[in-house]
Amino acid sequence: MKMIRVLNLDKYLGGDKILDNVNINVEKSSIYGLIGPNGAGKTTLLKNIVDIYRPEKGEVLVLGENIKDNKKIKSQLGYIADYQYFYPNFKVEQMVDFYRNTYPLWEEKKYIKLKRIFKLDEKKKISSLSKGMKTQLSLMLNLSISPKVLILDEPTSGLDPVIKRKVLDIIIDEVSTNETTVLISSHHLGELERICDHIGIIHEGKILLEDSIEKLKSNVRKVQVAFKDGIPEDIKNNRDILKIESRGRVYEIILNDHMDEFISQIKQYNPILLETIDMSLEEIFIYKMGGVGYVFEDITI
Amino acid sequence: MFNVDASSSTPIYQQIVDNVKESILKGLIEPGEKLPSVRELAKILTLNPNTIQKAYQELERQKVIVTLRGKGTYVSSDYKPRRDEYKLMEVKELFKKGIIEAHYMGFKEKDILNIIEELFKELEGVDEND
Repeated sequence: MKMIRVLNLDKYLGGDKILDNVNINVEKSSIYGLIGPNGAGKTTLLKNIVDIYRPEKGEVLVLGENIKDNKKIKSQLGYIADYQYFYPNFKVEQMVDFYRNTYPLWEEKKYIKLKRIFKLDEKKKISSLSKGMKTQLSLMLNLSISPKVLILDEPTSGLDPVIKRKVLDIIIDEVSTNETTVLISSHHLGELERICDHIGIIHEGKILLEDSIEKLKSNVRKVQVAFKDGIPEDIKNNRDILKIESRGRVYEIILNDHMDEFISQIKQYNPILLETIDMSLEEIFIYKMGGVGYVFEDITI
Repeated sequence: MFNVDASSSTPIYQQIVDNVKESILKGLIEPGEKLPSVRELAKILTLNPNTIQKAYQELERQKVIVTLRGKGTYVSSDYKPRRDEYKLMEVKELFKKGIIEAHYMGFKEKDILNIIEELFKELEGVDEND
């Protein structure tokens, strides 16, 4: 069952259309990565999903129900924002108390375990915590409420590698143990590549693509090829080509799909070089974005 | 325990399947031995548990491992790894490197095959004398 469904969502902020007909689907106990350039609308979308923002058009369904004013569903939803808006004058223990008394499914045992892992001093004032510590606190609180769905907005940004690893481990443990559904936005494609099974790419408020990482990696491929007498026209004009670059005789071709047919086609011309090259998620993202004109020219100063 | 390259085009679950088989082949894990649970392995490798699950399902399908309900996942006691498969891949890689080097020195396919013939004569000569 789809735990999160965003349907035909439009969102305006201050007259600007930030989200344009957005459709997202997240399956149960999936770890879904939302990626996109700065300003693409990631945070806005996540805020719509947790009902902090209301859409001008479309709807958000979480656990099969409309999220709008839905206390029942929200009590099962954990949200770690990009910036933690805790009451600054509160001590940590007061914030914990607040969550403890607000969320019906608060698990004290779990909180105690997490407290030991994160080693956060309950007596400290929230205002004295670093960004990293605030993120950890948010994670602790939002996991202790036994969420069925966990939404994280760039949770590892600004964290040192040790804490970053801890955060990812805890998310993975959560999914393994409780089949929690996770939606995480991040720039760190290297991390997402490891832990996500699906990704959605958002660009200028529109969803560019949504797919399983496995399928994406098997469709988008890189090939290095060289021909004795130059590249044949029908190879060059293959409509699945995302990008083609030449260095001397060697052509580097990024393919959007239909790799097997392309290879067969190339072999007919007896290439002097034919190699498939691995592509990371980051590379795939860069080339897909290049396909929609989000690209940087080579800079020589 | 296993090395996984998340940025490779080879699906992660496939890498895990290959890694487990290779570990058994090398004697790092023995038939009948207990493997980490999906949850444990996901934690150790910092990988999506669904990916580990998929790898374990594939290994089970290939009868490399077996899951006993309530007890855990074990390497099959009767799995016989085919040595040839892995050694062959390694040997192919070695040949490939040699051929590339020879090519850059201007050797054609015929020349390279001649070299190989010579080498066989050389080595067979050594064998006969032993």
